[in-house]
Amino acid sequence: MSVVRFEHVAKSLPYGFWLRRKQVLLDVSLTVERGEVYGFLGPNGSGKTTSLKCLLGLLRPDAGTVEIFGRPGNDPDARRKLGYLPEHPYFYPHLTGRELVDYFGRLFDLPSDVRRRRTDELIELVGMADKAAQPIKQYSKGMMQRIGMAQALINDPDLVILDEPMSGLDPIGRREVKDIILDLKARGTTVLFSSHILADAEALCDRVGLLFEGKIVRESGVDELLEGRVQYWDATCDDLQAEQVPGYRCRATQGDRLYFRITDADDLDRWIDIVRQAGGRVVQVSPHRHTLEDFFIGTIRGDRRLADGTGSEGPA
Amino acid sequence: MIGRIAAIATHTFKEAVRDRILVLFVLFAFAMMAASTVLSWLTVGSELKIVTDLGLGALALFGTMIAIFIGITLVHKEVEKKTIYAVLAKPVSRWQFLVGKYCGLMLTLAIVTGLMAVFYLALVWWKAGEFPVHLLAAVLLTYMELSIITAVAILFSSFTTPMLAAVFTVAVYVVGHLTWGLASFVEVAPGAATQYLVSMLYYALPDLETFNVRSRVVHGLPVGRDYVLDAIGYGLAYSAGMLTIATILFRRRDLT
Repeated sequence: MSVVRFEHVAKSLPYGFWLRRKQVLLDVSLTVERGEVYGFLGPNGSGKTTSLKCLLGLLRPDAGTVEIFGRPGNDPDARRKLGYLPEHPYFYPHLTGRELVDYFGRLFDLPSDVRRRRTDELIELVGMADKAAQPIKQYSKGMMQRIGMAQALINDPDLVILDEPMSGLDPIGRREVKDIILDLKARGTTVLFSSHILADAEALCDRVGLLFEGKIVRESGVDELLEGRVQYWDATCDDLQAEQVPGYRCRATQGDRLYFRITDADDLDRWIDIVRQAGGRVVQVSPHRHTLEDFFIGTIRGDRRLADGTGSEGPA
Repeated sequence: MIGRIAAIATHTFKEAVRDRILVLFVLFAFAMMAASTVLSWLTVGSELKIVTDLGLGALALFGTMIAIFIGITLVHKEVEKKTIYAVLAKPVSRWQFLVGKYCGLMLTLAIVTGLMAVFYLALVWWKAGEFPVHLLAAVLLTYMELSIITAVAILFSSFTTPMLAAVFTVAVYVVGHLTWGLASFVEVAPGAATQYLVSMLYYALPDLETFNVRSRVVHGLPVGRDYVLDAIGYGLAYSAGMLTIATILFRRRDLT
């Protein structure tokens, strides 16, 4: 059984004075399996937050089904083992950080001793131990995000949904959130997070779904997407002159060091043979893979070369 | 379930009492009650009536103002400030959220009305020389009236802006004090259809005069126990009805 399932979900939302409806989600279908970290990716305005709100029962889909642990998203019992961090979390300004986490613990009907222990642990985990007694109105954006992370984990959830968890965080904060996600993954917790920061997704996710203009345009494993997608190799050799490597265009020289860029694996083999036979020394061969960002931009631009990683730059 | 409602209620209470506006309302009520003693010096022979009447009036007025002022923003503020997302992503259903909010404001009103009542009763006790037991029923019924006003405010707050909710709630409050007229109109209305319509209107709108026993207690007339119990039953039933409608509307609402 999938932990999260969207099936052909569509949703329109009203806008403007006359409340005309804009189709935000056209057709969203995806599944998140137990124990995986799923990256829900897409540019701003693609419908990520709307999809997550449909999942949590905050919005009613116009069509399609959403399920959490096999139950409808709007069933409160489905949310017992779920943790959620909203996008740009807003919390009650009159509460202190500790009171907030405790309040959310009460909404899970946690006994007071469990609540107290979990609150202490989580406040420590998110690095807010010395700020937990301050009212939330004095919190910075980053502190709000941290306390939001703490409240999302108060019930020791099996599924954690994080809407843009890295937004507003400094590099240290981002590192810490990444560590928390990796720690959750190690403990077998399913994580679904939305992001437009692709480097984070690349480092954390098992699978990604790419949402664009209300539709899932690609869904696959991160490894699968990036595997074997070497765009080119930067190859460097010493003790030769450019003329001694015929058929290859030398990009730069530095003394007797030559720099090449090779886009085909067979060409690379041949280049190594030529260099060796000419008495040169291969100093470095470094592959440049497609990043998730290339894939992302390629897909939304409909650029097959970037999206499929089939770009070529043949030898000169 | 009860634990969740209690959590939302205590949180709503905490939020209300940490708001300075509440303290301001209570201080104004105290000031108005105290001013009634000064005013009573201008009248000869009916000082006690003035203090009793104005004090009870102040209690009802400020209680109503607090119920409307806080009630109309209760749900809207949570949606507007987006604090509701994290709450409803927990295993909390929408009716539990509304009932929790309602109970929280009723708890706040119980404390505030209690404080005002203590001050008021002490004032009358000091003026009359004996503890005015008969006024307790009037205070209790005022609180029941506030329970209906709060439920109406939450109903409007669940689907419209605070400004419109305020206008609608004040309108219901004013009309609610006039609906007793509809009850007598039913008997003289021409035609069965009109009678049916008028009686439907009477039952749909709250009859807030049920809770107004001021003129009776001021003149020392007793308020029967059965009357008080009936009024409490009416207050609870009407509030439950309003909260049910609020839940039906709120359940369908998209929280964008």
